[in-house]
Amino acid sequence: MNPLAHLIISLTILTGTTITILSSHWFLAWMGLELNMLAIVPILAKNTNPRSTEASTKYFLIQATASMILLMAIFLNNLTSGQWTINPPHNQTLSTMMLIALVMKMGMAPLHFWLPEVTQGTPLIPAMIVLTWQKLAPLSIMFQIFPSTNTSIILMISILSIMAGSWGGLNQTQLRKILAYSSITHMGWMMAVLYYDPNITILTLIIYIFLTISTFMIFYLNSNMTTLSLSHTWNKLTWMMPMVPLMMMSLGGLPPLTGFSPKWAIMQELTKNNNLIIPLTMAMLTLMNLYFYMRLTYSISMTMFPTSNNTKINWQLKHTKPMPLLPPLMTLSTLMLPLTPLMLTN
Amino acid sequence: MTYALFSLSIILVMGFVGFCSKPSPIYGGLVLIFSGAVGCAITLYFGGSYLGLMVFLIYLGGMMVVFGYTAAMAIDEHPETWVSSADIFGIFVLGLMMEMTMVFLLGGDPVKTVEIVVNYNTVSSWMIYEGDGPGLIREDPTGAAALYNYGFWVVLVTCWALFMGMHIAIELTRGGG
Amino acid sequence: MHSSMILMTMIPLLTPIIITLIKPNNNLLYPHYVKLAIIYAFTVSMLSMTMFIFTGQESMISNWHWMTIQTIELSLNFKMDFFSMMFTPVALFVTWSIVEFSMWYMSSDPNINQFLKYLLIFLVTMLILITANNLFQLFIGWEGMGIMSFLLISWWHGRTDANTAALQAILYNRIGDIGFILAMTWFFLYSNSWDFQQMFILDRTPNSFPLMSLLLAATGKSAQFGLHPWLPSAMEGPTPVSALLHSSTMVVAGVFLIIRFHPMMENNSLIQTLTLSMGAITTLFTAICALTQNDLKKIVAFSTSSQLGLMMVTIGINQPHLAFLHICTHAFFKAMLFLSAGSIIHSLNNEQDIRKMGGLFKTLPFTSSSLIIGSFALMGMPFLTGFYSKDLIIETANTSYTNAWALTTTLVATSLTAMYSIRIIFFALAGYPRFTTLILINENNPKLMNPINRLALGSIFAGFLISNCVPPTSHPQVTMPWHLKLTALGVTILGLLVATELSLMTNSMKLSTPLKTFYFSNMLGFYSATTHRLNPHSSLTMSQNLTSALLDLFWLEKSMPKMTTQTQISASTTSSTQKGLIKLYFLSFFIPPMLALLLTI
Repeated sequence: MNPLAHLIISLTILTGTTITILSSHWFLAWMGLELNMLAIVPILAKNTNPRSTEASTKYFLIQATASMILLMAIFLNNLTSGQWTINPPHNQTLSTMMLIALVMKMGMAPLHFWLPEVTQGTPLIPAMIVLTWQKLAPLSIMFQIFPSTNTSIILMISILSIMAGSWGGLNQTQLRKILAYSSITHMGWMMAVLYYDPNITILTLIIYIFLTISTFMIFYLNSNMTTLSLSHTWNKLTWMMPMVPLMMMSLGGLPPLTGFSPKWAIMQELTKNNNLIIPLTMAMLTLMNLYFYMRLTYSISMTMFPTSNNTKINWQLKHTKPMPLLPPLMTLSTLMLPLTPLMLTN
Repeated sequence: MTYALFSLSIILVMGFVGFCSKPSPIYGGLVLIFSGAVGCAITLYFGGSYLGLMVFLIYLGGMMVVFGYTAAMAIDEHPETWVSSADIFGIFVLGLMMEMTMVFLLGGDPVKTVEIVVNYNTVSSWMIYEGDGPGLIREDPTGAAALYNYGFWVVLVTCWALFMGMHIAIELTRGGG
Repeated sequence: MHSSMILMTMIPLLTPIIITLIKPNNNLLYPHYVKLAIIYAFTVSMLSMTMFIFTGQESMISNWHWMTIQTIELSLNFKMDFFSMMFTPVALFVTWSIVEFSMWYMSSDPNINQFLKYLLIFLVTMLILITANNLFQLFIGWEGMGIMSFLLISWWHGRTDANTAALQAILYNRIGDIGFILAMTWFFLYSNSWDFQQMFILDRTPNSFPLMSLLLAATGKSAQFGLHPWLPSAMEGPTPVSALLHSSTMVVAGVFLIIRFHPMMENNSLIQTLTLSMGAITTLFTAICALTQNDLKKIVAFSTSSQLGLMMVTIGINQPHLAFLHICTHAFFKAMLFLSAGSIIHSLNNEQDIRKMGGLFKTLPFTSSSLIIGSFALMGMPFLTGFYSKDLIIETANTSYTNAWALTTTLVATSLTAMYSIRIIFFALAGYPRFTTLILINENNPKLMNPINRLALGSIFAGFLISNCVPPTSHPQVTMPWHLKLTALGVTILGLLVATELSLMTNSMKLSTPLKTFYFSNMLGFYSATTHRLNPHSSLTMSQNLTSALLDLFWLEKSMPKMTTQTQISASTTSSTQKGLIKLYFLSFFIPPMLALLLTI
């Protein structure tokens, strides 16, 4: 792609989301979403192989459908209320319609099927963008309309997402797919607490983005796409062997690590609101997430896969993919737990 | 006028049924443009002449983007038509029958049906034109001017969006990374 | 006087056992110590027995108070009544002979001292059982015999058969012990006493439960039908062990237990009938089994079993004294039969198959004479020892009006006794030699001759002597027509004649295909094959299935870990096996509206 075109497109990705987040007008918000969606399509299709073309087509179709539903809801909202300001719609049906559209955009169950395939079809960095940045715009709209949505539907969708993410991830060996399912689960957690305390949703989102970006960065360093390729880590990047398990455990939400704080906060908040079964179910289902993260850990740092000949230690050259952000990101995504009270104070 | 409006409504819905049962994307684009034109005509009949014209011009202009996508998708040289396959034709006919059923269920006798179609209950609220008196300045062109004056940022963003749509369509069809 | 006498009987027996504790080194003279100890004990017990017969004074001594549990007092009690006073010298006499015989038979065994010590402990436990005055002491003797029989039967523990036989013995005895312990528990709960006198005084007619338990105990110990297979298997032990086990210890302990508890049983017709029927079945069944066996010792073993059944029958017709008389007389000739068999087996280089003997009366005249005397005594030949008890039993049975079926069965068994006895004589002693040549046959060792000699004398005269000592009031002096009087003798002679005729036929004619009845007899009624194979097989298979399939596989594996895994796997595959068809994904758009409808309506 032409660097100039690439620059424009990348800028538009940023601009679209920013417009959505900043606008108080439904139409502009929708336009931001559309801009963002349009701009990400060529990024996804950058490799121009059939896989990524298919992925970008799928992405486009799904997002366009979701945008259309959202637009229709916006119009009907305008019809009933006569105003364009982004407020929680008074009409229950319209809220549900918007919710469905946003759920579709965020890739949550039961409309999540496209997400693993799109993620798998694109290179690592576009996949990372799909899983992180692309969640912001729909979530910001969700953040503004949640008071009028039906709590039962939100919780049901959350639990379905956690289920789909957990069970789906069990079945995968492809790293991008695993992370896509992990994203579905995390979105479920975020949505579950949205009604009770949106601040925790934001906290979860931030931490999720940190964790996902650093994981993708690590995979990007070695261009790891499969679980099997992770087993060469000991030879290529020895320092990663203790780091990746920590990252994985943090993703799974084990206590001393950053990933625990959102889960802790969510479960506490839900329990405070006399929801006992739901956080229990969520935690139990998320155990399966922990399991497949552990499986990755196993192939990275606990086993040495059998090879036909004695593998020589790789010559450690200066890395061609400089990642200045990786160390701080990894620090944040593993050791941020003590800062949780600061982030939760409002 | 009532007769024309009713027919146009029927044609509009038929167009959407045709779009839904489209045999290949290129006909989808075609029907979309056709339906767009019919929609503009309906607006015109309600009195929104400026709006109808603008929508016809701009929407069709926008349709070029859609057309770009559809052309990009419609690689096959021998696209299917509605009558090329019994399935597609069946679905089309089914859609039409649904429409008929809907119309007759709503009304019962034809006159009432026509009334429902024509006298859309909140029709006044979305009618732009308020023809009070024989003034020279109509309000809908005024609104357009206001848009460019007060809402130029919106126009800018809209233009940017349209530009990006075109740009991305071209970028994608160009291919080659 | 009595008490010191009984102690003087017991203490010499304990000295050789204590010697091994103090001075465990092998001592060449140890067998003689054992023998001497038994001789001393025998002599002293003879004195006390004579005195008892003279005075007829029953007594009980309580030596040492052990402990008191609530109202139960456990003390070292010896009971000196007719049974214990009569049986002690008999047991000692028989054991004396057996020990002396062992010194010859086991002379090449490196552990002969230990063997003799085991025999002695075996005897001591039997004496404890005989003289015990409370259930606890009786139980010590009872269990002691169980353990010692295990050790002695598996004496040649290098052989698998010996080990399995010992295990069989101890297992079948444990089944009996269950009954014994049940009875003890019942008496503990309902009589508050384990002393015989107190139990009998408190409750002369208890309900059937403790009595049935006791009967079960006796069934196990005395190898009655149902729990009998261990007895023929026990022939894997050395011959002296078989002799001791089958004559005066162990197997008669069960009968003795029933005799002891007879005061409680005599009024319970259910138990009486059970005892009678079981005895009858045992005596007939084992006699049938004995008919076709080829192992010399096994035939004798089955004859023991048959005689035990006869003793049970006697108790079943309410004649404990007669049963006891039969125990005493049986001890003599059965011990002698085993010793003679041991002599033959030893001379024929450990050959036990009677088909490979023959003509032994030429080469082993003394042993042959003893064997014939023993067999005739067993058959009940008039004026030999067996006659005095057996004839009396048959006569009493014939005049009794209880269970005609059981009595007929017993009569048939009696005639079968003659058959298998004559079979031994015919095959082993008569005819022409069928054993391999160049076997050094001799019977000139006094250690062999003397015991058999003594026992042969006992087999001839003991019955007369002992039956004269039985108090005349203890059993009815029956009057009967002459044909009933001669029934016992008649069936025996009938059996003898038939057996002789049959043996002659088999000698000159080849049997066609063996009949089913032959298999029944030869395979011991298929009892062992059924109980030892089918039951364990089915229960082991079931247990294996229960543990491996139900517990391990299903409960511990399938129900939780595998179920969880399977659930997750199937949920995972069904929820995430995608085909990449975007149309289907769009179809999933219908789910949330449905959900919304369901949740909001």
